[in-house]
Amino acid sequence: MIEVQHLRKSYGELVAVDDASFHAEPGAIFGLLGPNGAGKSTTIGCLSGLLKPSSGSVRVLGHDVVRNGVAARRALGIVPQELALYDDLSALENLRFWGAAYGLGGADLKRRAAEVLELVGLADRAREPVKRYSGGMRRRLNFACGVMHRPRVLLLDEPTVGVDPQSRVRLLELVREQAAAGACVLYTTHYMEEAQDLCDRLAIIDHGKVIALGTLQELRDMMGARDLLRLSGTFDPPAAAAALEGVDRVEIVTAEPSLLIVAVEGASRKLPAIFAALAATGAEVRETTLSQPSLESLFIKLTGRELRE
Amino acid sequence: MSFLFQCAMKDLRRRLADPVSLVLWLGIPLLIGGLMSVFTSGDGPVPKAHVLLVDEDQSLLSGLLANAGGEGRADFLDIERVATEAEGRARMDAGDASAMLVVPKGFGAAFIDGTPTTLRLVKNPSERILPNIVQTAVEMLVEVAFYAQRLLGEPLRQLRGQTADDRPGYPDSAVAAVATSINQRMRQLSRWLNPPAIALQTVNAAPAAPAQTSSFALLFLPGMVFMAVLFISQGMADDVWDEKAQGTLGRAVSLPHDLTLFLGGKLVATSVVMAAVALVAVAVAALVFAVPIGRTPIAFAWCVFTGTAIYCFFQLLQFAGTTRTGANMVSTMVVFPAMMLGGSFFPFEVMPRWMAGAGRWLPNGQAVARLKDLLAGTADPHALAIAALAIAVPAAIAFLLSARLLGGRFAGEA
Repeated sequence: MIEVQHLRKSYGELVAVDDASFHAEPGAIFGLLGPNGAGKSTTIGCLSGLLKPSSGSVRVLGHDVVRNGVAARRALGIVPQELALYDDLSALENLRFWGAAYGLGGADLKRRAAEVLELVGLADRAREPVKRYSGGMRRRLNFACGVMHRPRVLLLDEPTVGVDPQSRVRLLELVREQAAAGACVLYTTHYMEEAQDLCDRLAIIDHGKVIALGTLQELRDMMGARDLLRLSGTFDPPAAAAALEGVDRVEIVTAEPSLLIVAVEGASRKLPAIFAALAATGAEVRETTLSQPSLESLFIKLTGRELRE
Repeated sequence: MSFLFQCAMKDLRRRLADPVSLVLWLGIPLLIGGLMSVFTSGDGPVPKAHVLLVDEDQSLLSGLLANAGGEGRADFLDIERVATEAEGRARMDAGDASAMLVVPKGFGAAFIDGTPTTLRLVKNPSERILPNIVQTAVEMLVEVAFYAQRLLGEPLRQLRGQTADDRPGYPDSAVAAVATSINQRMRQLSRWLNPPAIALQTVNAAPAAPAQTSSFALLFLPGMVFMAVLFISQGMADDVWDEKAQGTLGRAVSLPHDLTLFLGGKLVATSVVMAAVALVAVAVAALVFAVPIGRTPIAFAWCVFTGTAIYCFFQLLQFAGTTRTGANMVSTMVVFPAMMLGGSFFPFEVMPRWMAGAGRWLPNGQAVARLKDLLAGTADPHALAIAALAIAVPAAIAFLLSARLLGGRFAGEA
């Protein structure tokens, strides 16, 4: 399992990860969801030994990654966000090298390489140099290199970025298979749908801080049964906020001159009252979007921003 | 050990996937060395300056001048008479001559009278060296003519005054008087001329025996070998930037191994490439320059050992820059002076002493010097051991520093 306690990583004045704590269990997928630059890759870097934490502790299967790095890294499999492949070598040569680096050898190495190539659908192009592969094929091989040695802990850093839809579906299936086989999977993404579909537990991270943590249901409960209503147009923020206070069970999330976001229970029934209250302040509503409770709406509720911003 | 071997095999496979680089690393030094050897060898024909002579004077004296450089009297001059200056200029424009010497009308008379006269030398501007050689030769000739005039001018003037219009030639008495005068002057000079006060002795160095390993071409071979070594070292050391750019260095950091082994794999792969170069070098030495086979094993080992050590220095240089471009600039700033001073462009034997002395202190210069000794069979085991130690210790330090830097900030930024 993975245990992260009060992890902090800073570069001078810039704090990339700030007091992050979470843990991930074997046989489950733990997601780190956050926008670009939130600190997800830095967290993965600290887990993999690439970066040294400024403070806090990171343990993999009970081994501290700083004090007992070799033992901790022996259990790890990494699928980095950027491709990490030798372009001049074939898929088979890449797999054999990374497999051998984790101690596989002889017939086991050959058998496992063939198995993994079959798993990621590259068996028929196994002997071609990687530089001839498409982007999706490279992504699958990148994943294959990470699971070659049957790691007990698998770190995946946005593995589906830039991947075609078919490869993406296949990759997500492969991740589920790893968890089903008993691996502890840590999966970072900024795709809300991916996190919702894939992860058993999640941490939402923003500006290096964990702002929400729990199962998908627990996170949804944080939103309550409230929908998220997003109104674009022209508003007087203080007047709009004051006017909406009169509407039952409405919470202002964001109030800006051109954007108003409110969390509201039974939004479809309360829309006329909301529009009337706003109209009384002279507001002009041009566009309205109503969202059911989701991670996206939770992120907006917690940060006042959309995940993709 | 297994991981080290795997890393080495991986790097060798990657090198074999790019055979052009391997060929270039070996081919460029062979090409440069071959050209240098051809250009600087003494086997080619001696260049001659072709000079056109326009003799407007048509006197005995101008005829002597024309003959001075003709008919093989001067190895570097080839004088040809042309009728007019215009013809001479046309020939020069066509590139037929390096210079044209115009002897003006009245030159002979002026010479005898000791009055000023001018020889005109027109140089071909499209040539650089040969016209200057001609100019120097003519200046020397004018000097000689000046002293000859001082010595013989007066008797010649006396003889000219004896010319009779009604009879051909000179009166016997006048010729006898001039001969006597010349004889007296020569007698006065005899204590300097016979024997000459200054004797110039020209000695051509005897050509080296073919079996000797100090032949001119063999002087170049060690330098060429280490030029290849320097290119290979620079290229192999740069590989850490490829690893970083490909993301494989980042993945390697997460392996349960010390990065020293990862870098060690590159060291082993480099030594294999160096062995290939060394094999070519000793094969050339044995087959082309008749170096005894018995000398080649240790020469081979020396090339592999020093080549691998030199790679370590270049590996460390890669961390001198914060970007690949910066690191390559630093590396290039080192490699060419190292080649120049270290005997790769020119053998130490033809360098200025101070430069050769400085070059021999460089690791590659030391390696070149000792390789020459090994091939020539003049290597001193004690000196060889000291040189090996002097190269190995700093190379080992450079390697360990490189491993430390690779696992630190360099990889952390990958």
